Amino acid sequence: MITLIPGALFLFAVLGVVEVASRTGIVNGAVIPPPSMVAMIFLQIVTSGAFVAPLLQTLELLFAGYLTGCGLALLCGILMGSFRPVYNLFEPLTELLRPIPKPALLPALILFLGLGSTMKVTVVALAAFFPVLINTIQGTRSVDVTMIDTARTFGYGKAQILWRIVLPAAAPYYLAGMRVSLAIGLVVIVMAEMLTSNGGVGATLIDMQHEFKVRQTYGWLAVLALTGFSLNALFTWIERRLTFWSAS
Amino acid sequence: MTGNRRAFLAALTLPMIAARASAAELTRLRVGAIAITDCAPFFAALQQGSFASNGLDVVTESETGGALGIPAVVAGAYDIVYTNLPSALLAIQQGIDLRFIAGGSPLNPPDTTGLLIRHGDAMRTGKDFEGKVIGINDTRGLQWMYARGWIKATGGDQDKVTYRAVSFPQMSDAVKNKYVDGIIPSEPFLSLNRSDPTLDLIASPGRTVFPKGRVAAWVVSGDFATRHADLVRKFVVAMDKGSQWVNANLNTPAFAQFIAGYTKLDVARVATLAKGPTSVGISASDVRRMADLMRANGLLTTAIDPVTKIAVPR
Amino acid sequence: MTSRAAGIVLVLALLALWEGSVRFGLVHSANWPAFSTVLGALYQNVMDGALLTVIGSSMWRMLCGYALGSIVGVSVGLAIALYRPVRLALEPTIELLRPVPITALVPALIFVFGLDDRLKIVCVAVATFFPVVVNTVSGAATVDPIYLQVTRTFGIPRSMAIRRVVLPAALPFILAGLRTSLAIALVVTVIAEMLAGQQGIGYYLVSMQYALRAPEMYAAIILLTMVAYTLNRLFLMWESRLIRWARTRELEA
Repeated sequence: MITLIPGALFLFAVLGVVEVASRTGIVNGAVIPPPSMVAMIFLQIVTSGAFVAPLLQTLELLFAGYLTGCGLALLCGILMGSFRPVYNLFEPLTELLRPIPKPALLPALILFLGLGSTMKVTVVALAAFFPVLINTIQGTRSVDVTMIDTARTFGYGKAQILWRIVLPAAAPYYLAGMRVSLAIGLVVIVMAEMLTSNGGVGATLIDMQHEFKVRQTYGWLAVLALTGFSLNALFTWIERRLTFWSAS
Repeated sequence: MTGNRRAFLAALTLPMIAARASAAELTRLRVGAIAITDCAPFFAALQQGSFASNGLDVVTESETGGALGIPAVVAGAYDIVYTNLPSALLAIQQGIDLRFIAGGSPLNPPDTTGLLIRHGDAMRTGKDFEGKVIGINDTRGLQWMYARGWIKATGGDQDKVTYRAVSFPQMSDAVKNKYVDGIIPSEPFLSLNRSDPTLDLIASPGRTVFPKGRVAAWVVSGDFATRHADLVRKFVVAMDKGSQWVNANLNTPAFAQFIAGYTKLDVARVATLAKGPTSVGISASDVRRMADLMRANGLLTTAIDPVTKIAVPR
Repeated sequence: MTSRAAGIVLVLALLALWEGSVRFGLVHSANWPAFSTVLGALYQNVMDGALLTVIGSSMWRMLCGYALGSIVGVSVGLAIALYRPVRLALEPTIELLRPVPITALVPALIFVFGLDDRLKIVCVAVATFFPVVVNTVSGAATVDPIYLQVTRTFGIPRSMAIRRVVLPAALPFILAGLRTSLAIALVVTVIAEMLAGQQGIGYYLVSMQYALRAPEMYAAIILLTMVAYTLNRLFLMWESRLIRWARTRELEA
């Protein structure tokens, strides 16, 4: 706890400077509001429960897309990492699709999938897919061949080798990928919501911005920051539970 | 298309080069505009060198959205910006100091927006739309107010209709694929969708709700209006010249080339856009009408005295 | 057929499917032009220079922001890893700010930075900063503290210790961070330009849509993809060369 003090002091010092600058007019107070006002609005958003509905929608779509994307990526990654022919078959395609900035795909996605949940889940899944795929391929390849051979001599079937050797051994890799995908997924879902304005935190942000409610915008950004922070902490907790056996 | 752009750039630069040759007395003015037909007087003034001959070196950038100009003016990135009127009033409501110096001119008659549905669907009045979804560009924006007003005016309960945000280019896809039941596009998407046999135009909500109303304006910060009233005057005089050119050339082929040049639309498509005479004035009653419309829809909750916000040079 | 060839055939088959969906009337939309039309637009726009200028200006902005974010990221990362007070002071703030999607900040930042290059460079720099700083800290942390103590005992100045011991050890991690940031930088540049307009490929994508020129929009996406792919490849080449250089330096030290 004591170690948090320097960090807290630093944070409050920075906020203090902004507060003074904003209130005295050194910076335009209508544009960079005093942190104290933002804090009040943030508390209001939280205590009034206004954050619940949009946040739930955002998280719902995020998880749906994220889990889909990661699941598919794990599957494809293991297949591509284990079997050269499979890798060669899909590598040109994935190398072509990976660099496409996903927001550029939105018009096509909206055409085929509409403006609702399906489209948003898909775009999140697409964005989450590639980091996990790359990392899973790398992780699968890094599995010590002797381990697999040993397992085979013990009569392990393909499925068992996969479940008991490959998956755990590749875990550090694909978990790292999944962490990156979580951050990317959050960015993408917020962006999709900002562009389609149909509920969710992103849509709320855009609404606040349209009405030039700058303080509310920062209040909701604080909600978003806290959400991302919590998601990351949650991920770390889950990751630790899953990999307790590996020495770091 | 390439030819258009080259010709247009040449036409733009010639007067500018001439102006620069004559000189140092030009004051730089940074203007944010949008490459749409509504800004025709501005681009016409630019092309004809009206700004230069009024002592202004106008540096312009085009934005993607109608309301992006306002934050940019606040940030000091622009001196003058084109924006839609509801956004400007919302900004004023939040304490941002803006003044209106000229009106955004509808190039077309008030039918720049229309309500379209799938061919064969039976909706004709607001009542028919209850329980259905209408796609509009900006939730809680101008078309949203048009939609609500039209629904109410034609016997429907405006709160029983769902309004979904769809960007203009996606509107025809959205309605054809049944993500929404009706769309309210603006030009050039209005004429594009009108000519589509699978879509029917059933109403002009803009005309019903806000006939002959000013929906956009050129704004500056209050600070700028006070300190640089002379520049504002010169800008508006030049814009007026631009608007006169537009009115004089409305039906000439050069006009279509001109519009195609800066909007990057196809020349053939420009020819299909409905056109009408334009003007760049703005009055307190223009602003008051919009404020009343917004108040009726719950967007404006504070009192704004339009007269104090007009900074049109005399 | 070798599986390598099969991979390319797969891509071609999908492109044929795209073309077919339009030619055979399966999909009918202004937003879904035929692949051949897109190729035509791509050829024409590259030839008359329009697309290349647009992409060039975006790349310029991206690289400026990327350089800024990387330099600050590595510096701050090293400072955090080497000096405990710095870590205690900065880490909580960084952890709090890191999860905020930069795209959500863009509209708010317009009020401060306007709409020009400044805004986009700042956004890219901020987006680049976080992965770089995190990776730099991780990388520097792999250095056994014993090595640093040894350098201190022998009176070797800190700066040299950093150059000869910490940096080479942290290099693979830093490079991984820089590679991730490169991809992020590109996406953020495009998004910032889409949201805050004016020039660049993001603005081009949106304005082509509004100008009813979907083929141009897809052509730009294709070009963008090729650029991103090339950048990634170039980075990988540079990275392997750098690692080889660092290994030799490390051996020398």
